[in-house]
Amino acid sequence: MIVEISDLRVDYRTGGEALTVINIPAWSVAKGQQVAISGPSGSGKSTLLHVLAGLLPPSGGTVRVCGQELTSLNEFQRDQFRARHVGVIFQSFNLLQGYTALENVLLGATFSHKHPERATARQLLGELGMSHRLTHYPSEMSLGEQQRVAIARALVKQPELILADEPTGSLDPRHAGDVVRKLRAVCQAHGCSLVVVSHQVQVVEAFELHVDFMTLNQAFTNETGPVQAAPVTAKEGA
Amino acid sequence: MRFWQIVLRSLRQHWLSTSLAMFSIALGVALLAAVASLREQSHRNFTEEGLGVDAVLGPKGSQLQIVLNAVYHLEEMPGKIKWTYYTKVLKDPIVESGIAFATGHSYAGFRVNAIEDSFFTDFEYVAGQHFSFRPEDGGQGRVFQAREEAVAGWEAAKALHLHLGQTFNPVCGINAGDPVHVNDDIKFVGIMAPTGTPHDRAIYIPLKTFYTLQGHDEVAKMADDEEFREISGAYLKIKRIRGGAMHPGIQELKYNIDQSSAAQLVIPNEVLPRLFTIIGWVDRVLVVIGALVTLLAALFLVVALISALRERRRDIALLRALGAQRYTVFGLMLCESLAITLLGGVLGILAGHGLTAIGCHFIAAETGLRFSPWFVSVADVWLLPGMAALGVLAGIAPGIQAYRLGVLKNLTPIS
Repeated sequence: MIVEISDLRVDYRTGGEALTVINIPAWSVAKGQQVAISGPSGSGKSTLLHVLAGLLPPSGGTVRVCGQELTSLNEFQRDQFRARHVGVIFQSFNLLQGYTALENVLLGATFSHKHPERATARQLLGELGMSHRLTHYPSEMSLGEQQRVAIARALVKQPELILADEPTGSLDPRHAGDVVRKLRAVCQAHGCSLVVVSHQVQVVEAFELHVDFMTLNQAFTNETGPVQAAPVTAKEGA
Repeated sequence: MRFWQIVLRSLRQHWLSTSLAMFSIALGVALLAAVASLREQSHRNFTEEGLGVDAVLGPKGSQLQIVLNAVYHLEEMPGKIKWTYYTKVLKDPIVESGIAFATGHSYAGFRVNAIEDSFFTDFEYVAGQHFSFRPEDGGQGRVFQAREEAVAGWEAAKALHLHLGQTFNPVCGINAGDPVHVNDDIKFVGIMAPTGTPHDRAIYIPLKTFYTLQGHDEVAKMADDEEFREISGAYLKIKRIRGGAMHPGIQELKYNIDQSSAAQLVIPNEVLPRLFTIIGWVDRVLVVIGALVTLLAALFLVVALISALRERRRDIALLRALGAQRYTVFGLMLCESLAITLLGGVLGILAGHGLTAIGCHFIAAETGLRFSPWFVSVADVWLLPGMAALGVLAGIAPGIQAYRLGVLKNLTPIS
């Protein structure tokens, strides 16, 4: 398994009250699988991705990613783990503005200590149809193109898992479909597992495997909203 | 990408604040470097180079004026002394030798000193070093032998493009408009090899020529009659005791000479430190100004880095999301600060030498002293490490801010 979750709980303190926003008894993703998680905005999908990326330590439970138990790692180790094993794609403004497309891609491997050849980065951008944009800065690219560069950046260090958080949230449906197709294709070509969260139906339907987060997350089974939780231990890990 | 490439890219991305901070630091460093260079060169000129002369027998008047005139070819001698008194002093058992001279003439801005020819054989401008005319040392020609012959110091010859066989007419005085000895054509027969001392900046004629220059009618008889003869002063070489120290009897000799109304004995090593006590506050003020400018520049750098960090929160958060450690982003800010102060430091040192060059020009014009803009001062050595330390200090506060930056808070809120 590339992802294995057991009794995962994430609590937040809001207005002096502790709220459980994620409560997942068990969930797993097999190696090489591509999974879409759907759910409305604010349901905690991104929070789950942050936990899987090691950006947010959970309040309870166990989270095993790429065979590594994340809850046993400190922040320094989680950063190292993320740098080496997990690629993350965000909704928008994914790229560093002062860097060209090629440099943004190379930056993706800087902290993994893999230092890929520029040729590898070029090839990835080529696979994503961005060969003509290598020296362009983010401000000179469309949002769809920026997302394709972000995909190449996530893949350049050859991670075992890609976590994409609303990767098409800023795109129109035509470009969204194009980006998702390319994301899936390159992940498959590079033998990389993929977990995408999205509230867009057409994105989720593009995946054979998809999960309704509202079903997965037991925290929302109470109709009155998030369940009370205690003790509160979760806080932002970064 | 390598870490240093990220540092350089960040600097380039914020080039305006980076450049402003760098130039501010360069300004402070330039001031410090220039002041230090000129101060050190002054010290060298007025202390080490004065060591070639144990003592100067001179007329009554300002001791500083006597040293400046006799050793540095500046100012004017406050009077004259009798030749007979000089020869009497020479007989003192602790006086090893003496070289009499007469100042007060010039040529094209350089002093023309009449001097005994033993100056070229006996005088040691640095312990054990005599003047040379050998081509392999950079000299030309020979010592003067006749009345109408002269030799030039290396710098004077270079500045005036002098060549052997060329003649000149000395000016009777050191100021513009002073009369010229138009009927006395004196020929250069030698150019002294460079010594790096003020002696390079003078022209020398035989002592007796001084008395026989046309227009010196009242002193002409001084050439033959020693009872009438006067000189501006004389360099005295004092006997040495064990360890190479000057004979302690010099203080008694000085006391005795100073008690007389005929002359005084001036010891350059005692007089010159007083000069720096008088003018020392000037360079202290300039050093304080330079240090303040540099410190203000460092504060500006801290503010610039912190304000740039506000714009870069998302970039830093993205780097952290890509796997950068907290200490990596801390190091990033520290290295940016370090790069700015080091580049500012290098720029400042170069600009400092530029300022020194301007200073040298004015000092040469006003005093005749030749300083080098390329002199490497102690400040040149410690300024860069100092700037590195300042860079680290200035980078700490922005570094801590970057270290504490929350990744999730600074990424676009999603779902």
